[in-house]
Amino acid sequence: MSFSPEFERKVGDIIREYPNREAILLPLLYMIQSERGFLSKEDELYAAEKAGVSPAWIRGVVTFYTMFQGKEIGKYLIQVCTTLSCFLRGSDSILEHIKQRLGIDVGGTTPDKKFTLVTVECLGSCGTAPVMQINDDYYEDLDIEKVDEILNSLP
Amino acid sequence: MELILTKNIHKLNSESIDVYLSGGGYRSHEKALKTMTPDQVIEEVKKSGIRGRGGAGFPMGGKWGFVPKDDSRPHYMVCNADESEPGTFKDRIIIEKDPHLLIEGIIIGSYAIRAHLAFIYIRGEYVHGYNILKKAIAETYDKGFLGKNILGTGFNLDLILHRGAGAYICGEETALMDSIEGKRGNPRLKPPFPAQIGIFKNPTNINNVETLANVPAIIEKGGEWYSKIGRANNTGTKLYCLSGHIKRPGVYELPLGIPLRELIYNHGGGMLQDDRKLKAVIPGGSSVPVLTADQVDVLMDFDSLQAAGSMLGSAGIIVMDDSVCMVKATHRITKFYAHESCGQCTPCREGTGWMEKLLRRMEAGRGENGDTELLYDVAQNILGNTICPLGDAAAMPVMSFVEKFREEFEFHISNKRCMV
Amino acid sequence: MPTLRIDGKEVTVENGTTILKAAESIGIIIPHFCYHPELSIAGNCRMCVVEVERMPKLQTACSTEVSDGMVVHTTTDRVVNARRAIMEFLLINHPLDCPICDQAGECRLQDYSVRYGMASSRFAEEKVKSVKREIFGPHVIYDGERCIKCTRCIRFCYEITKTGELDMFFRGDHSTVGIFPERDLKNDYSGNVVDLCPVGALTLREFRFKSRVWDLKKVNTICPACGRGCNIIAWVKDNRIFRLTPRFNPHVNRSWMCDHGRLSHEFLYRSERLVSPEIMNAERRRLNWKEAFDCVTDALKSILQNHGSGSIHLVVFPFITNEDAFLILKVLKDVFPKSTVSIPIIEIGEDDSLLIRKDRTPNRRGVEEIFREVSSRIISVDDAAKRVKEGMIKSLVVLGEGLTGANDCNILADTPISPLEFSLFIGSFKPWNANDFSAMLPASTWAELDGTFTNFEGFVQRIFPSVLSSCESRPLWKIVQELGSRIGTRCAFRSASSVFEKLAEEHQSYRELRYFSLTDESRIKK
Repeated sequence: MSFSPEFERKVGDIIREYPNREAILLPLLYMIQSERGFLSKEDELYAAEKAGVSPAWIRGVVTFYTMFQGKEIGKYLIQVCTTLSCFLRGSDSILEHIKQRLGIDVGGTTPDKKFTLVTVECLGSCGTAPVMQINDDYYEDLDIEKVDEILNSLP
Repeated sequence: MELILTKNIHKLNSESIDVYLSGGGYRSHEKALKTMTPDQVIEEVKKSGIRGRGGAGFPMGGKWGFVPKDDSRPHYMVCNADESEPGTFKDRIIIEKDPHLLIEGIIIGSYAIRAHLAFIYIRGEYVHGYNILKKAIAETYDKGFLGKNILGTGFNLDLILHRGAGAYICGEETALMDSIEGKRGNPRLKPPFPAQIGIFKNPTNINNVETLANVPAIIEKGGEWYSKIGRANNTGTKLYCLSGHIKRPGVYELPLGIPLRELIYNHGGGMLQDDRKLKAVIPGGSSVPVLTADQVDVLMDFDSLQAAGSMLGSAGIIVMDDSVCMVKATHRITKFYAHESCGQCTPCREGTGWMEKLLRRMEAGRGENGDTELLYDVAQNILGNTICPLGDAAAMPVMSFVEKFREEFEFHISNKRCMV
Repeated sequence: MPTLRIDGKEVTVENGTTILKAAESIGIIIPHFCYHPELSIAGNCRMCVVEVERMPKLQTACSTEVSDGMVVHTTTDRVVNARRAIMEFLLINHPLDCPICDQAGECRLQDYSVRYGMASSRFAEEKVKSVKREIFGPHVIYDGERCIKCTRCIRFCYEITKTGELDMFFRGDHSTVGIFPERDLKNDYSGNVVDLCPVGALTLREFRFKSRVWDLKKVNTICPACGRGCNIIAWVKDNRIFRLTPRFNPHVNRSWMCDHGRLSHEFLYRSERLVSPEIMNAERRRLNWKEAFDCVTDALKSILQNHGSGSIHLVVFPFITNEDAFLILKVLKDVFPKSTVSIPIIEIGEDDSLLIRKDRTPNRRGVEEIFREVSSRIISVDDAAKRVKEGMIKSLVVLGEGLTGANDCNILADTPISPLEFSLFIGSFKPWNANDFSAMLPASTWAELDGTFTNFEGFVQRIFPSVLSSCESRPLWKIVQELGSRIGTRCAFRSASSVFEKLAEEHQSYRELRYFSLTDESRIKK
């Protein structure tokens, strides 16, 4: 599994941008993940070679940061914040509703691979709690109707 | 009151460079680069008395002064935009609504500490903010305010926007540096301090978004002008984040030293439900000791909150009414720190997990006599014994909740249910 | 140079010294797990905290540099309580199964528990589950539940071998030392991570569950596996070496040894031992030593008489000690004045940048130094083979092959032995061409001897007998001395030390070295 010349060119760009080869690692892993959906073993080895670090280093980094996915997930990653401010504004019932609606538990993926549901620690959106993030987007000031509306609108 | 940090945010397209310029933006960086020496910039910032807005409250001018002057190594300026302390969402407003205010502050700061490369480390979840900053940085390069020979002054500066990837601990400055270096975000031992050995072993200065966003105003109007805002030793305006059981949650820019009561009841509109009473307030992000309702007259600044046994921290104010079970609230806070512990040092790695399990068990009605004391003891054993402040951040709330609401913990143990 | 007080004792140390090292220098040992003098400072275990006056927080002694006038306390209640807390934290998720743990007896958790442990556990929650028995590589197995995440092993692989096979995976209390899937921890030094591990998380596959460490006797000796001569400890029970571990020597091997050396004791148990003197006339016969000496002396005398000493060639393998070499030199000078000598070269691969030498013999430098006097008589093994074929050499004496058990070198494969009038083998294990020799005399192995090796840099180091010979073997120098004196040398050394004293007296390079006062820094003169 190789990457397109365009992709390799972009990797070259970040290598030039950073003063140190290893420092390209986070941007590189993001690039690979957005191309692949998740980081496979082969992708990790590719990243190790590009950043000039050992494969164990890569695995250490990938498992440290919550936003790197080590396995395939649904088309939409729903992350419900359950930290204090969201909890105070009812995030538990939001989470419960999504669980029931999708028929999956936290950490699960729907059989059609459309949704993966996880909880997440504080998203920095406490003033508009409760909040969830679906892929790149924040959905704020949630209530159950709003959650249904959002989930219905996702293709 | 004159707004410093939020003066532009209500403008249409406030994030664009043209809107920023039309409001007088990028005049300060021109003033600094063309008419001031780096040392004069640092002097001006020292005069302002501004203390870091990231949590620790260290004077920014002093911090800049620590970066060695005669050192042939490259220097780096880092903007810490890894806002992740529960209850805190102030930097996001600057990033998303007025990115050029931040970039201008970064350029001036880089000039002052003789850096030619700067980083903005933004938390990975802020994708929207990332995209806005990315565009803003490109605009700034286009105008010639970043890059080679800025404004013909001979000063060069590149700015890299670096995305975190989901780790609260990377808000700790040395963990952040490791993260930029492509590593796990493990905090480093101090000393050495970043000003001596920072990113890639070179002198590095790290400031929070809000702190740096104050710099253009300080340079434009002078440190002395700034020092008159707020209270002595607690100067300037502050972005207060109100969340929880409050009518009008959100970010409020007000001088340091405003009474907490005024924030909650005037600006925040009071309790979310009129029939509920204020029970507890966390004044500075979830890591600081909790305040009870009768402490609500405290002034919101570094020194006053410290005197009250808490901290200003990030000024993330979480308001809790009398419907909240304190055991459950403590559990939620502790769960956060257990999840976010990097796992490097023993007390934090083992202790946060232990406290979380203990609280979970108590919350589930399976607490036993002595558990409250045990919980407190575990927290105390973490406090002050870790590499970085996360250990304290996990211990302080637990200890304060137990100290102030002990009867609720005991009730939970003996009655197997919440007191409320 | 700052002067400070530690527990009331004043000490002056170099600038930049840490509290831990300063304390160590005056005999105050501060407990620690993650700190290791050869590795970068991690400061993660927090066990070494001490109280420093005028500093509000406890400080980690491993990372805090001393300053002038500093006052340090290492045993206050505050310090003891903090260490007790650390021990409690380390043990909450640690299995409490010392009776079945292979680290028992050399586990720091066990050791420190005596002083800082609590009588009973206050932890009533479910322990974090982690990997058990993960195979990291050919020599190393990992138990994640026993691991205290001190990262010594990780730092070793990044900083010493620079191979980076290991890293921390996951975070918080789910952190675990990990290796990339389908990759092995198989650098040449992987066994060192087992020594480094302060608890029972990393164990050596070749040693685990073989013996309790307190049943083993420790013998300080020298690794025979290459020209480096790493300082080691042989761990012995029932007259058998169970494992070898490195012993600190700042000049030779610091704290490490290679995997090849670490397992070199296994070679001793792999080949067929030559248990008693054997003579081949019509048939192979085992003899007692007296008969054997008679027989061999007669044969050598007859060669000397008929063809002169120039017809005798010696092949001296540098597996022998300096003492062995010295006696061989005596014979070469006194009774075989025209004999030629070969010192075979046994090299594998290349020298690496850490310890391993391609020369896989432990005493080439020593043998060559001692034989310098007769250097005009040294010829290559190839030339010797040629002379055998040309009939110039009538008799071959092979000395010291495989004293370390490394007996697979086949150096003499091209040297026809059977057509010779007389061929003598003095060694520990039967060579591949054993049947070709006229006589074989059993020498003691490296593990059974007193003596010295000179490493490639000239450090002269003592080896000690770890085990007793289980057969009729004798030290090689004693065999040579007996043969020599029967033919005409005059010497009667009774011990390796007396041989060495004579060597030091006669040989310029060894002058001033005293057998019983050899130190880490003793080396031959250039």
